[in-house]
Amino acid sequence: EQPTVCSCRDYDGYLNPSDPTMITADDRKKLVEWCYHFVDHCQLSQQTVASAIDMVDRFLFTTSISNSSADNAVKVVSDEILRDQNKLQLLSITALYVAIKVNERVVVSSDRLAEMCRRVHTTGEIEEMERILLSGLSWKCHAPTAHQVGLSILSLVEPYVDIPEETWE
Amino acid sequence: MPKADRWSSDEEEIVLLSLLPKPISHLDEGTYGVVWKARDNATQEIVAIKQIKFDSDMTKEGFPISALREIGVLLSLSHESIVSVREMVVGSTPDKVFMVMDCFEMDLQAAMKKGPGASTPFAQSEVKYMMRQILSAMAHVTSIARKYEHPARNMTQMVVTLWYRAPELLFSESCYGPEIDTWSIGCIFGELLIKEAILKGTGELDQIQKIFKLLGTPTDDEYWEQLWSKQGSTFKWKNNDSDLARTFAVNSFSATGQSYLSPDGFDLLSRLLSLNPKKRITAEDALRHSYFSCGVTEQVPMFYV
Repeated sequence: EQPTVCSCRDYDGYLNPSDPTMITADDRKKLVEWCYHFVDHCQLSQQTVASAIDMVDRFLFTTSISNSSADNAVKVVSDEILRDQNKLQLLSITALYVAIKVNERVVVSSDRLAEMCRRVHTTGEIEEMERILLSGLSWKCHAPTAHQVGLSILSLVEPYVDIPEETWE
Repeated sequence: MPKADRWSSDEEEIVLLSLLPKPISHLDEGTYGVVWKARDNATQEIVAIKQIKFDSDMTKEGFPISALREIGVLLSLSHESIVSVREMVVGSTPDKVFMVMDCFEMDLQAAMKKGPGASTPFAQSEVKYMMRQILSAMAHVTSIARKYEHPARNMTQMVVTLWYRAPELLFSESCYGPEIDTWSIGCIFGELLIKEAILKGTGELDQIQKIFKLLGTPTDDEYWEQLWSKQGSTFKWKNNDSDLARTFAVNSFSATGQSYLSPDGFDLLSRLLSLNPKKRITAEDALRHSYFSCGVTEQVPMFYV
């Protein structure tokens, strides 16, 4: 509803870094795939992954640019993540944790998520990252995703054309 | 992140958010947390600050789901009749999270008690004004929800305060949509007319009985026959006729303390309180109902002044 509020401004620098110590698009892709694997395993909606990755991107984009009102602690964390695959994984898992809370009917505990990543991250770390993620996003965890826009367009078109239900998801 | 000393209490000195909770002006205790009244030192505006309640159980699973959803929904809505969340503020410790919201003098319940005299009914024009606000807010919520939610999926029936809960929910319908909200608005419409909740059940069964007593038992109704046969229900309900017309008198200045109700108004009320959710009027259609386009023009209720 408010596209400007949820938009990211520093698209160019992100995931196309000239600096070799920065995370790459490949690192991000691996995590997206891990998330899809996880939701398939738990029989959750793919929309949840779209929502989680949207949060990851927005968190890293919006806080990577210097913003006077942005909380310093959040900025420090997001700068760290941009140089640390391990921390990027923690952020992605946390975003998935939040997206499940927002989108799904079932509850997936932080312990379950910690277990799924072979306890590389503890439940305490996930819950702490949740707070940082939420405040970094100013609690805007309901942003529309491309996935939803696609579904929304399909639902408008649907009465006029014959689309098999299977192709929707 | 806004500075913590931006808000101060009504009368006292500056209150550091990190020192909260400290009783300033205690407004209300909602389901998810305590609400405080405070002044924004930057703009001098009075705001409501709601502290998110963290149960010891909840802290184990991070940020409470209910609060997360409420915040997310309120942040994505923008309507003059819906309270807006101005921003979120974090205190010194992780369990101190606050929603800064517009502050209102009172809620509808308090307004009904207050008014120009608790026993005096609202004028028809005032009821109309409030109903339009409620319906247009609901139409906005529905349009946003339709955009972003999957259509009718199975959901829990443990929603909505009992007195405002739609009959199909009481019969464990798990596939529902915005019709349950228009039912609730129908209940509020009736309540605005008589300044008292119209269906005060003491439990789920009693709630069903009260609904059927007021609106009659659904007979020859496709929806209800399907729902009951799907559930294999053999329970027989005593056949009642609708009592709605007797409960809400049309075109009369009665001594019973009911607001004046035009035939259009009664028609809208009965369409909102349709037992069949498929036939229940939508918020959008209700706004187009002749109740709003004909008769008395709307007027801001007295309790605002």
